[in-house]
Amino acid sequence: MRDNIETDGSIHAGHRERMREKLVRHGDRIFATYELLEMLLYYVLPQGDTNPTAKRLLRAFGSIDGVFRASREQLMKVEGVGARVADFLLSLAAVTDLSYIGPTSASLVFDDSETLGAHLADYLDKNTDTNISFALLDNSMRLIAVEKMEGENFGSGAVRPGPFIAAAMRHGATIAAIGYTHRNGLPFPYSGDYETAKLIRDELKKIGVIMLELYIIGGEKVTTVHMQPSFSVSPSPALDRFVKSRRGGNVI
Amino acid sequence: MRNENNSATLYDTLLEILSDSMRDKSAEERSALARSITERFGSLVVVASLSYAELSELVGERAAIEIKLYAAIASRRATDGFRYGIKHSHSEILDHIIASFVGSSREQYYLMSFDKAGRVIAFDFMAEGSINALEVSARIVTECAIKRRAASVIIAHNHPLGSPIPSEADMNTTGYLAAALLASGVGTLASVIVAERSAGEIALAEDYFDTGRVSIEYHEYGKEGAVLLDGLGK
Repeated sequence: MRDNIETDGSIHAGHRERMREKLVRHGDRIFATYELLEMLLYYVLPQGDTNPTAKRLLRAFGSIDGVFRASREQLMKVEGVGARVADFLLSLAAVTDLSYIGPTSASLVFDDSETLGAHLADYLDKNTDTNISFALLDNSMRLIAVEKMEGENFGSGAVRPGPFIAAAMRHGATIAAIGYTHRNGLPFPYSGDYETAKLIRDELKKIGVIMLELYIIGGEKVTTVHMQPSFSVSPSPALDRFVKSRRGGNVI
Repeated sequence: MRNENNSATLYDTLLEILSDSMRDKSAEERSALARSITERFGSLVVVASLSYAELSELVGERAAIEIKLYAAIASRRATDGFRYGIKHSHSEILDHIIASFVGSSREQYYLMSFDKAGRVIAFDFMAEGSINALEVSARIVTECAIKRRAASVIIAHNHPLGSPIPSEADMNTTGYLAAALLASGVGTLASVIVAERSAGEIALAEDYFDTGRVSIEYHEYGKEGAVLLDGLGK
């Protein structure tokens, strides 16, 4: 369906390279829509000037949206558009439609507190080389990553905020939660756990990351310490749902 | 993974792009990378919010350019049909603003101008900053509003890969821009913060300059209406 855009050694190859450099340097704002379509066609027409075909497509269908809504037969009626170009444009119809949302795994969205706690408990159960896990989420409560954190005793003062901040920044997270297994099997937070959690929460807040929960895991049980969000409004309905899903637990 | 229109999903599209740009990798490696990007980012809009440098590190330079180009096409598909000189619904205005920021990995400021009848006159680019910091000059914004003979405006900016929740700095910037605009006889209807496919809207109350009252709503692209965000307490 597509071709290597580097194959054209003609005058057009230099033009294509310059267009791409402009796009990288200045962004798409400086381009007319027909120029963006012209560049898009590089990926399916490896040689020649794609500018006239781009302009003909826009004239035929009235707009760039019209081009992507056209059928294969309609597209192929335009001069310069063969089966390959038509199929290429059709293949991009969904992904360039802002109404279309890609398939994300529902299991990776955590909009209730208990499920996230269970996920972290399960993670620590499977990763016995650590007893502190750090969940990193985006503002739609999609899980980006779970990281193992160093330190045996969370509440001893030995666990510092630095590695948590570094992990949050590395993953571009805006929401976070910690899971901590008490090796003694008791799912109750100690005063040291509260203090360490507050310290990490306050430092994360400085870089714009909201720490929601500390889950204390002991045996089969999980106790949740809710870290009251220190902002006045929620970034998303998913986070609203998460906060409303909280049942019991301690709040700090 | 193909939908009923036979259009490729993000996974298919990434796989196609990577088959070109990462020929040195095995099909399994390309498939695993496409799957992990799809699961992490979910849509082209989010992937394209990464900077060229970040995208290049993830998928290579050639693929990064192609993804940015697709995002630019997506933005134009959603915005080119927007008509000026007429009234639009609240949702149409918010959708247009959200779509205009698609693919931008830097903070940008725009100004939407309205005439006395509430018709949209223009949507002008004001300034661009780094990934999470931008200072916008009250003079530039005011000059633009006057040039457009705007009766009122909406100020809009984005938080690339961030949250649409207004920060304290956003509140402060909204305040000083609104004050500067008011001095020129231009009303500020709202300040909109775009992140991914959503927007947080700071709507200024009529008595804003006396009381500082605002309401904050959350919008998602393509959905009618908005969610008024409740305070969650301090």
